[in-house]
Amino acid sequence: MRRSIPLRAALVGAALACFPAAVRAAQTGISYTRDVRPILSNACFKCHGPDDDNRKADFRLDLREAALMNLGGYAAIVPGSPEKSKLLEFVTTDDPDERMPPLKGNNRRLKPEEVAVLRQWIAEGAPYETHWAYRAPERPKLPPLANAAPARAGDSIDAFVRARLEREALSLSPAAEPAVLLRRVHLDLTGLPPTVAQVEAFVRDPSPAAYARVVDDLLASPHYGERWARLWLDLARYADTNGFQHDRTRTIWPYRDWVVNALNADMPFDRFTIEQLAGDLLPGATWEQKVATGFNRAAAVNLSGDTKAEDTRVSIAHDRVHTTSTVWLGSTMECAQCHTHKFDPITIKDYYSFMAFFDSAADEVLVTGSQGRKKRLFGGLMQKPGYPDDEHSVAAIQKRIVEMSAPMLEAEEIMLGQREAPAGSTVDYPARFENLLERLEGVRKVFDDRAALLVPVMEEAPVQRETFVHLRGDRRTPGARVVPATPEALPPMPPSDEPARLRLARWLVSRENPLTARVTVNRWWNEIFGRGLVTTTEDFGHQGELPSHRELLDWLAVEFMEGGWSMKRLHRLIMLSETYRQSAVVTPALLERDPDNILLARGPRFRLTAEAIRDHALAVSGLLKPTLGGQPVFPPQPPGLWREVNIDEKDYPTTTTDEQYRRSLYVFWRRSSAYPSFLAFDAPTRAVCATRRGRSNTPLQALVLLNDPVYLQAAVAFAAEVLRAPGTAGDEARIRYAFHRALARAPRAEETARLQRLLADKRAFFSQQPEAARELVAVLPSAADHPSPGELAATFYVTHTLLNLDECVTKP
Amino acid sequence: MTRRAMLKKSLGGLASFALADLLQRDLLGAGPASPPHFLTHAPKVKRVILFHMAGGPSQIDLFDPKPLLKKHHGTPLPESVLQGGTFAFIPPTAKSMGSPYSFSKHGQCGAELSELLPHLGTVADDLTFLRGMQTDEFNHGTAELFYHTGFRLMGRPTLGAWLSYGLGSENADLPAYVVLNTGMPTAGEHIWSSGFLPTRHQGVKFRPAADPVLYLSDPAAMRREDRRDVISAVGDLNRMHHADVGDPEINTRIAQYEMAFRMQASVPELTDLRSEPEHILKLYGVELAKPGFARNCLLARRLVERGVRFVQVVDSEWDHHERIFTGLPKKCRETDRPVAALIKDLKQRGLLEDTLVIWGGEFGRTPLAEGKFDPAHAGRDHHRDAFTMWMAGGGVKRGYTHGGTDDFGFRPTHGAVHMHDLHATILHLLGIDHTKLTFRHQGRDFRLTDVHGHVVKEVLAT
Repeated sequence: MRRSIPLRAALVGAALACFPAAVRAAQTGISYTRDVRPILSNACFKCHGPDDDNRKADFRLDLREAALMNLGGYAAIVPGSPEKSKLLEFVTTDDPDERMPPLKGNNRRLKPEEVAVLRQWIAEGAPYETHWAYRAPERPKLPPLANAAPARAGDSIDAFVRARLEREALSLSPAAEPAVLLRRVHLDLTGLPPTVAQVEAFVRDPSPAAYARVVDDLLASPHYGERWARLWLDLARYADTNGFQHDRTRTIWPYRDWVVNALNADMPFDRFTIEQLAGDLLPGATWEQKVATGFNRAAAVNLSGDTKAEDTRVSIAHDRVHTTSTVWLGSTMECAQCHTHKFDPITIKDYYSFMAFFDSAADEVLVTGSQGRKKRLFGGLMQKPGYPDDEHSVAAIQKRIVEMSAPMLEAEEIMLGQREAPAGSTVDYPARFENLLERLEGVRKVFDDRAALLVPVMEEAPVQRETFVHLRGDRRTPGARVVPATPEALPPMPPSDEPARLRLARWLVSRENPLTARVTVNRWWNEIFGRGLVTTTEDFGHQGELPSHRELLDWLAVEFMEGGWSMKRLHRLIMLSETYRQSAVVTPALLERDPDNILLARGPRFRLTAEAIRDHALAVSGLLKPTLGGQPVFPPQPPGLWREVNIDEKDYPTTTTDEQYRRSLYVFWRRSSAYPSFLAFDAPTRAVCATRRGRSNTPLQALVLLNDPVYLQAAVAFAAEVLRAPGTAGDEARIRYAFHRALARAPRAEETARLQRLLADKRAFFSQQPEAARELVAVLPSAADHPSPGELAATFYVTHTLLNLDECVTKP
Repeated sequence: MTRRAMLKKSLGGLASFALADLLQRDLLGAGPASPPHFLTHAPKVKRVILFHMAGGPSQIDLFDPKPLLKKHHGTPLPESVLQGGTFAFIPPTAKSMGSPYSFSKHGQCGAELSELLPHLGTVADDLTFLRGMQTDEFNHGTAELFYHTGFRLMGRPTLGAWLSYGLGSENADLPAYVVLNTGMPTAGEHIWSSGFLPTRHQGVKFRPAADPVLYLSDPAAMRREDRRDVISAVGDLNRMHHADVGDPEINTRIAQYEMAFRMQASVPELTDLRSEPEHILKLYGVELAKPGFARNCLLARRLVERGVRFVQVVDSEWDHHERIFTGLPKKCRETDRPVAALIKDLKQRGLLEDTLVIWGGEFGRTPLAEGKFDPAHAGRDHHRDAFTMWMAGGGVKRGYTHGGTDDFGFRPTHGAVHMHDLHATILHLLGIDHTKLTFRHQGRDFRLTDVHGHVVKEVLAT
């Protein structure tokens, strides 16, 4: 019988933290945040929490004052007196009418150990605490070390990790082999593998000083920005098209290049934030600072015919709230769009006050066709150099469309009998409709022809929009008017004369903001170690996971802010730590103890991202074209994929020059039909902000690596490199060289023997079938006239095998 | 043999999802694996074929005869009926438009169907019609997502993904969730997305091309034995490396390469219809070399026959805003015969006993006209408040009509079934309590039916 048992997701994240809270509490004293709040939040806050509209019995448990209130001769919680506290009675009684939580839906009874936690907490006085993530991080004291005080960069990180391991009677693993470490750090910092020469040099001198030099060189490489831009572009839901039906192309790649340049220049994260959220509002904003605001213009835009123009505009504003709050505050404000958050202190008013920062953007969706079926988005379109200097400026086009659109729609409705003509009108409406529609189409065509020369940037509308609470999330039922403001539960935004959106950006990166630095360093930790210190990288709220190493997270956050918000400096610290440098080899005992490596008793080992897998294969094979920046490229993909989706641009303009071998960062990203091998390896569609990617392991991935032409071409090119390299006479030397190129290490004897067998088999076949060899290597056009196709084809089987190894697509 | 070793062996490493989880469970000392808690009762069906006629078929012209609407032809709906209805394109003052098609009774049950569906009439006694269907959305993209995920925006798992996650696959050589499409709906691939579930649960689209699954075919110059040699060498080297580093993910990868190798044989075998006898091809109206809807219906049978859990058949161009009386008959000619053939074919093979077939669009169409009001040009707008879907198969009543609408077909008068209710009912037939099949994401337990959904007991066979 084959039956799947679903993931017990709730357990996975907390595998190690899941021995009963009561046991932990007995060891270390009750903590409201760690032990009590998760119980109350899961079982009670939905009806007795922050949400005013859905509160039952007008009673709330999330505030101490309310929980202690006299309810007519009794109280839910009487500090120090569990026996007088009605709460404990409610959660233990067998009376179905009295019992809490009530028996319905997914509710379950509290477990005896959970009741025990509540009892002890009340006995200890029922102290409440502000949620840990809403208190500003302070630099924690370093745990005492067995050895001397920290001497090297990275030692402080190790001190926290070691202290935790010691508590669990575990220790760090030995350092990774030099070759393994070199490949790891190259992949982490530039996304590209080390060359054979780099491996040889480092294996000769793997000293700490040599390693530190490698780290510094990689941090200074222009490929550093390319590698780390990918994570940021996932957050920015960056894509080259609008999304939804039609899914038209937009010219937003200058923003992508801005991100790469900013990361390479180690632009401090506070400035990085301010320029992206409000660069257009800075005094004397430069072209680059305006391009930076592409961050919030990267939102998907729904211009399908059946969606009302105003709904499209509002949904963009919602997206900016979700994205901004997720990226900087680690908060899923989404829930508060329709009702006050049930678990976090974010009210519906907070939500719409936050939306007001973005509601005044100049976005305007204009109808440009019959029955509203064609629309275009205006507002904040910057003309690139080369835009013709004539009467068709964006502003002029926009003005003409505004003038014609509404009268055209009016004439159409009257013509169709859907609206009464004004009394006494003698206008020939059908004629008027035809005339206006034709002119409108003409203007739209000019606009479309020039779209490639327009870069979307943020801009404020000339007249400030008024923002209202949307009751139940519906803009058609407006509630109270709101003004731009940050959530009340967080530190206040200082008043100033600056525009609201700029103030928001400054507030996000102020030293008082408890979330931004933590959330940011945690995402990097997730990227490097495969698991965040807080696993819910998108949610630092009450329902998010608690940090595995709270003090380490706070130390990193403070170090980040006090180190001038330098990203490279922080990455350097992590790379130099022993925690990072340890071996990823795992024993069965350790695997059983800590399958998810929460305690960090071994180094990180996990599959590369979609883009990194392709970049790696291109680099190993020598096909990679490493130029930086510029227009997106269109590497070959199976024919007809764009015809299978509902879009206007049906023909995939395949890049046939060697530009097709540029890094994956430059591959054109169509939201409705992203590059297929990226999707196979868990790339998001970029429809919405994504803080982390899955790491699935599927047969479809095997098929990509086995048969996607780019991987076959890479294997042929790689084989040609193996044959060409000096000193590779003889199969053993060739296999050795190929191993070094693909995996940055020497093969073991049995590995060599296995590949020798494969090579000999295939050589024997191709010596009989030279035509088959020619045909096979012709997948790479430049190999078609190779002098020894038989040898190339046989070697292809070795390189093809190497490119398919788990080790090859995995950070070691 | 230890329990863990036994688990590994019994699952053959194929069900990597299950395996990792069972091991996890073992580590936690949770005791022997018991059936998941959401399997609360014996299932009536094991697999599902879900049709999505994207665009929104007109129930007024196919399933829900409205003589009175014909009488009111050309006049706006009375305000008492309209009551604040909203539409995508037309104003509320648009004119009523009766159906020009004649309806007649079919089968023992006497279900009334329009003349556009003669073939479906021959299987009427196997169907349950839901005439009071309702959804929340009246735009394509959001309504399509609602049909499959129970939510208006992207990012949630679809019904098929939930079932892959909850029930897994019965065939080790094929994916649990397969999508067959003719044309592309507005929401695109999001209607077979795994949402926040692990991506292995997303629908695998079989393309009508030489490679039904992307990159399935080896290069022409590579023989099957060459591919075998590569998979063996990759497996051997992976095993050697596993001995060095101990990462269990390597074993999963080895198993997935083996699965890929088997799919290279099983998928072409599955999609090669030459093995079907002539009378079956004729029944469906399939021409061997021609891709299209009829072929997808036959493929759907072949998929469920092989134990694929969820087959999603998506058709497009049912969005008849204009020229509906040309467009709709055309769509019916394309789809009526093959859909009826599928029911007959499943039945004659005994597969209808434990397969569930669902047919419908993301919404229906208005009883009001859109565009120029003449038979050559008129169309109908989107309608979310009342439309018809049908279901057939194990556990469902046969030859039954549930629910009905007012004289204008504008709103249900009885037997309203919300999309959430349909989802709850489908899960119920698979033995799943829809309130218990959950996944924790962003700090909250999500389910297909959110906080809604009631099993429609009236349609369950007794």
